[in-house]
Amino acid sequence: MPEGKYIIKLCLLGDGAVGKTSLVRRYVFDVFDDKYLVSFGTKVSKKTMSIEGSEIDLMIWDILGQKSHAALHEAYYRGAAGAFAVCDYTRPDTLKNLKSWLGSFRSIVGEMPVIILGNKSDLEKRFTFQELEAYGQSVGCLVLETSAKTGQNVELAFEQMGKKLLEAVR
Amino acid sequence: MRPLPFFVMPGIALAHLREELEIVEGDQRARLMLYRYGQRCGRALVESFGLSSSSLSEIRSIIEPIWMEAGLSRIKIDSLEEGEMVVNLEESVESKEGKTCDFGRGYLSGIVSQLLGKRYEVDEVECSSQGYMTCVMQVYEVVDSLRPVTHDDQETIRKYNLGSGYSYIIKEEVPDQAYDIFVDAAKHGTPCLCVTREYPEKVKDRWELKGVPFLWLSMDQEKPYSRDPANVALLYSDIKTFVTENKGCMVLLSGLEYLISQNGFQKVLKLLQHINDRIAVTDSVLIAPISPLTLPEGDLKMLEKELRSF
Repeated sequence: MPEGKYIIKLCLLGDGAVGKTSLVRRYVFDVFDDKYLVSFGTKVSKKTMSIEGSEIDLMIWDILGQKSHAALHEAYYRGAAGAFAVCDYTRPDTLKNLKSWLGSFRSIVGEMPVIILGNKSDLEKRFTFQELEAYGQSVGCLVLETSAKTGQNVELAFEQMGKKLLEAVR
Repeated sequence: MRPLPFFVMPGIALAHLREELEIVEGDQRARLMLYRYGQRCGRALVESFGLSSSSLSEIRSIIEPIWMEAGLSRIKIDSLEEGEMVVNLEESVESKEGKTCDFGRGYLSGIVSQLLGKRYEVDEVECSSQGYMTCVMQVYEVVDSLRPVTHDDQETIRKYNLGSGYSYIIKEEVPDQAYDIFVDAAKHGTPCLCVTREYPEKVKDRWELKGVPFLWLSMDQEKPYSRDPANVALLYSDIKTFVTENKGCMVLLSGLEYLISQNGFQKVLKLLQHINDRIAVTDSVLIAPISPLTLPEGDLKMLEKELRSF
């Protein structure tokens, strides 16, 4: 495979307060803050990663979790090469809602790589990894459990995503 | 439903736009233009979504999510009373290095005005760029001075019947015929707007114009109906709004010579071309008296090419 430099847009999807912003902060800045502040608009963070001799500038779009009007929200998906669909282990409804997040994302960008993250794995879980995995299989997505607080699997999730994105763009 | 196209810009884009406007138009005009641009954007957003609300108290649940999505700032509606609302904005993308939130102020005004179908203006009473904790916006209703009150005089016969959808130039030293046509239309139930260089109170008395809204072309900005003659964008916006909301109306634009002296011929010609287009699509009528001795022949010919001669 040819080596090269890529700039790739990645979106974070999922309900409010599932930990999307915390995951980005953990991965990009290696910090975690317990205080919750609702995001507004969209924040874009850049992280450069090297995979198999290629350099990827990952532009991570942290999208507002409170869905209001689809047309406005979906504008942010355009041009994305992949997404993390994030749910919160302590709130089963956030897993159920992934269907709608995935649906609207794929309706704009098509069949791009998506990894499902069960976040807040350090807290008491209200559904199991098996349930999450079963859902992931049904929609053809890799599944990982993460904790932005402890950092569990955060690096791994982005690495896996980087590989998938690279396969897709090469 | 057809998908609505949107595009995404970084927050810094507003600062760049402001800088460009400040260079070209000066600080004060730049602020006004950002405000008015914000109003247009806010109105367009609500219109695109087909949203509406029957009262100010209902709109909290609509404004907060669409505002948060736009990414201009965080929003908190502090108080809501009939005709007035106080809003707190935090982390405004505009409020930096002494710059106030002019686009955001306009955006809020546009959203509220379009939602409620009335005109709401917004003042920024405190801005975090001036050392305050948050940006505080006061939203208040403004009585629409451009709302015509029509009445149909059944006892007299209408004298003039100008083809609708056209703009007319009337060459006369004193605009008596133009006013005669205008008064005739106003008396017979046509919604009318009078844009004039003359002081409106005098025009009203002289021509017995009741219920007709006026825009006064004057540097004196004390009156609510005053319009800075150099601000043709604002003038166009007001005329466009009136014509759009009152299809089949008549607009009298008296004072072209004054507008030309303030802006140059090309700018005024462009204004007339824009108005002419709106007049055409709304089946309205524009009458524009002009003293032919005040213009070079070439300019007059250009006007005659754009507008019909009466």
